Amino acid sequence: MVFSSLIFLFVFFPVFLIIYYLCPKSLKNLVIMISGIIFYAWGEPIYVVLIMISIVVDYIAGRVIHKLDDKKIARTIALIVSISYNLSILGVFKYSGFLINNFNDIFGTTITNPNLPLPIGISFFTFQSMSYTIDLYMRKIQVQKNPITYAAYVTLFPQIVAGPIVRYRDIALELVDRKIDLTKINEGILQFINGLAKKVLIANNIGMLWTTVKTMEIAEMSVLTAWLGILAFTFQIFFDFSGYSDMAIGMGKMLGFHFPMNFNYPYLSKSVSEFWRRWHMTLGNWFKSYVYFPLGGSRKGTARTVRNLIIIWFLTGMWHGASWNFIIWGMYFGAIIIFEKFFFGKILEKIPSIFRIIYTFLIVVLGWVLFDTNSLNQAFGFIGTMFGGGEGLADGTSFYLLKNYAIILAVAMFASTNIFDKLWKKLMIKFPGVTGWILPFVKIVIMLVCIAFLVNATYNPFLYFNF
Amino acid sequence: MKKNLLMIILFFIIIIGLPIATIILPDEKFSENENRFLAEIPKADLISIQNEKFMNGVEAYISDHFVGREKWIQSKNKIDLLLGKTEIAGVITQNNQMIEVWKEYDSELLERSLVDINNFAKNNPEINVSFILSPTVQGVSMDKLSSYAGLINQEEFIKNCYKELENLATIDIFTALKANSDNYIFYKTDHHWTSGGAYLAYVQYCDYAGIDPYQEEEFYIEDVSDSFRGTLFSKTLNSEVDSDVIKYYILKENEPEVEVEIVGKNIVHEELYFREYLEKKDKYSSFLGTNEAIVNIKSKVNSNGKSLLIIKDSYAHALVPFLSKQYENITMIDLRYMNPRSIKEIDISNYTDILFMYNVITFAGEKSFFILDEFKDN
Repeated sequence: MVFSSLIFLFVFFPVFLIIYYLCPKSLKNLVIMISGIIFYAWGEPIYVVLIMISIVVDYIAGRVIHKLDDKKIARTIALIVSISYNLSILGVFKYSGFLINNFNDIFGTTITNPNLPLPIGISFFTFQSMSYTIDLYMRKIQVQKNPITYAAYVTLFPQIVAGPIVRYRDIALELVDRKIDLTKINEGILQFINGLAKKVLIANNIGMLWTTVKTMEIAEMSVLTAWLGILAFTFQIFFDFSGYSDMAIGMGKMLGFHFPMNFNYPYLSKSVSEFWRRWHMTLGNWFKSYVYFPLGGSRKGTARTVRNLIIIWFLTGMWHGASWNFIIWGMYFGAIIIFEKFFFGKILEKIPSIFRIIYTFLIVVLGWVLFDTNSLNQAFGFIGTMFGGGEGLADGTSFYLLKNYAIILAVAMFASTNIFDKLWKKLMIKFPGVTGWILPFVKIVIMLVCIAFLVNATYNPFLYFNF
Repeated sequence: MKKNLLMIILFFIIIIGLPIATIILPDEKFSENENRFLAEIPKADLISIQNEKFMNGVEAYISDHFVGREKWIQSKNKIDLLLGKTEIAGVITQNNQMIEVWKEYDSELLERSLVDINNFAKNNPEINVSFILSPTVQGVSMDKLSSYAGLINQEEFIKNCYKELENLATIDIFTALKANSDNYIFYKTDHHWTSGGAYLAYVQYCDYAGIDPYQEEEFYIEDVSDSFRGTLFSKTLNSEVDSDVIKYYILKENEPEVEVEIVGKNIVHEELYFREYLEKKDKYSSFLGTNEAIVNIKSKVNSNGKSLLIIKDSYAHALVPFLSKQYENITMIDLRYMNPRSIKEIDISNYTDILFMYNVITFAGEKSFFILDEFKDN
C-alpha cells in the first residue's frame, strides 16, 4: 500500500487511527503489529512470511544474546544467525540475479537466473532488524522480552516499506512507554501533509518531465533539454523520497514516536561530504555505526580510512540497487569524499558559500545521471549532451518543456531550500495570532489539492520501492 | 491549544468524512464520461489475495466510486492549466477546439499493416480496392500548433502510407479537408469528423469511383442535437468548450430507405440513423451504431448491383450515410471485432468495390490487418 493513495488515506489510516486512539495503552502495540502485517501483506501477500520469520529469528536471537551474556561464542553465534538470515534473504531476493549474471559473464557459465521478485521494503526492514541484534550484542540497548513489542518495532507501518531506517535504539523507550498528546498529533499532521504535497504535487509532476526526456534520443537532444531533464529528476527523487519520509515521521508523531530526521535540506550542502550527512541520513548513520566505526573509522591512519571509505561507498551504492550503475554511483561519491577529506577540503572551506553550494549541487546532479540511466554508455552520452555533445543549445522541444514545467520547476527549486521555512517563521513572529489560525486552513487546502491529483492519478510511482 | 485542535479536527473531518460520504452515496454502475463500467466490489478468496487481484480490485473500487470523483478531476485539470500545462490528458484545448494529441506510433506495426493490405489487394485484382486515410483535427491544424513539440505531421504520414500502398487506389482527402479547416468539419469535443467533414471525403470518393456525387444543395441538413459532448470532453471534463451539433444529411428528393442489419446479433434497424443514441451521451453512435464485426446496409430502392465492402474504424460511420444513397448494399467490417466465425460470413466475390476507411491514429494502431489473408474468394 502506498501512503499517497486513496485506499491508504481514506480506509486504512482512518480505521487504524480510530482503533489505535480508542484502545487501551496495553493493547496499542498489538494494534501496531496486526495493522503492520496487514499493511505489508496488502502489497506482498506471499512474501509477508519473510518479515514474519525475520521477527521470530531476531526476537529469539535477541533473547539468546541476552541470556548467554557471559558466553561469548554462543552469543556471537546468535548474532551471526540473525545477520545471516537477514543478509541471506536480502542477498537472494535482491542480488541473486545480479550475482548470477556477472558470474556467467566472467566464467562463461549458463546458470539460469531465477528472476525472483523483490519484496517491498526488504532493504529497509532487514537493516532495521539487524540494528536490534547488533546493538544488543554490543550492549548498547536492553533486550526486548515482549514479543509483541518487538514485533511492533519491525512492523510499524509508517517506516516498514521505505524508511527512515529507524534503529531499535532510536525508539526503544517509546516502544514501551510513549505519550500521545495533541501537540504532537498536530505536528505530525502538519508534517504528514507536507510530505503528501511533496510527493503528489511536486515529485509526481516534475517526474513527468524526466520521463519525457528519458525517451528521447540522447544524440539529438539540445543542451537545455538535457539539463531540464536531469534537474527534473534531481528534484523528483528528492521530493519523492523526502516526502515519503515526512509522511512516515509525521505519522510516527501521531502515534507517539519520534523517528530520526532523514533529509535536512541536502541541496544546500556546501560539500559532498556534507551532502551525505543531509541526504538519506538514516542510511548513512546505519553504515557509520555498524560498518565504518567497527572497521576503525578514521582513527587507524590514512590507509585504513581510505579503505574503510571505499568499503562504505561500495556498500552504499550496492544498497541502492543490484546493478553496476549504482555501485559506480556509490564509488563516484566515495572518490570525491576521499578527495575532499584529504586534498581540497581545506581549500573548499575558504571559498564563498554560494560557490560551494553550486559545486556540490553540480556533483550531485551529475551523480543522478549515473543513478538513473540504464547503462554507463547512456550515462556518459547524456553528460556529453549536457555540455554540448547533442544538437544545439535549445530547440522547440526545450521551450515546450520549459513552458509546461517552468512553474513547477521553480516551486521545486525554492521548496528544496529553507526559504519558505524562514519566511513562515518571520511571519509567525510578526503576526502570531493570524498565522496560527491561517495555517490549518492552508494545509487543508493543500491536502484537498493533493486529493484532486490522487483521484486523477495515472502516474504515482514511488521510486524507492525497489529497495 | 485551540489551534492544535483546529488542524486535528479539520484533518479528521477529511479522512473520515470523505470515505463515509463515499459509502453512503449509492454506487453508479456505468460512467458515461469514461464509457466503461465502474469497478464492483471484488471477491475475496485465497487465490485473489495471493495474486493481488483482490487488493487491486479494492483500490479500483475505491477510486472509481470516490465521492465527487469527476469534480476532483475537473479541479485538477484547471490547476494544471494554471501551472502552465498545455496538454491535459492528451488533449490540447485552444480557440474553443479540443485536439487529440498524436506524437508516436509503432512503425514496425505500421509496416506490417501496409504489407498486409498491399498483399490483399494484389491477391484480389478483379475487385476495385481503394483507401481513404483521414487526418484528425491535429492534422489540418498544424499551422495553429507551432508552439507544440513532437506532434506527428499527418500530411506526411498519409503521403508516406499512400506511397507504400502501390496495389490499390489511394484517395486524397487531406487537401479538401485542409482547405475547409476553418469550417465545421471536425467536432470540438470529440475525436471524430462531422457530417460536413465526411461529406468532403464522400465527394473525393465519388470522383475516384466515377459516381456523380449529390451536391450539398440537394440535401436538407437536419440539426438533430446541439448538446453533444464527445470523447475529448470525457478525457478533460472541460465544459468551457462549446458542445457540438450533430447534423444528418437527408436528400430533399428520393432519400432512399435503408435497412441496417447487425450481423451475428440479429438486430435489424429499419432506419439509417440510430436516433435512440441522441438521448444518450455518445451521440456519434447515432451514425450506424457502435463498432460491430459486420454491419450490412441494404438500400430498399437502389438495385444497381453495386456492392461495397468497407473495412473500417468508426470514422466510416459518418461517411456511409452518403455512400448508402448510391450503393445497393454496403457491408462494414471492423477487424478488431472479427472472429473465425464472422470471417466465414464474408465472401469477397459478392462485392464490386472494397474500401479501406480509417483515421490516421486508429490506423497506425490497428493490429488486425493480418486477418485480411483469411478472406477467401469463393
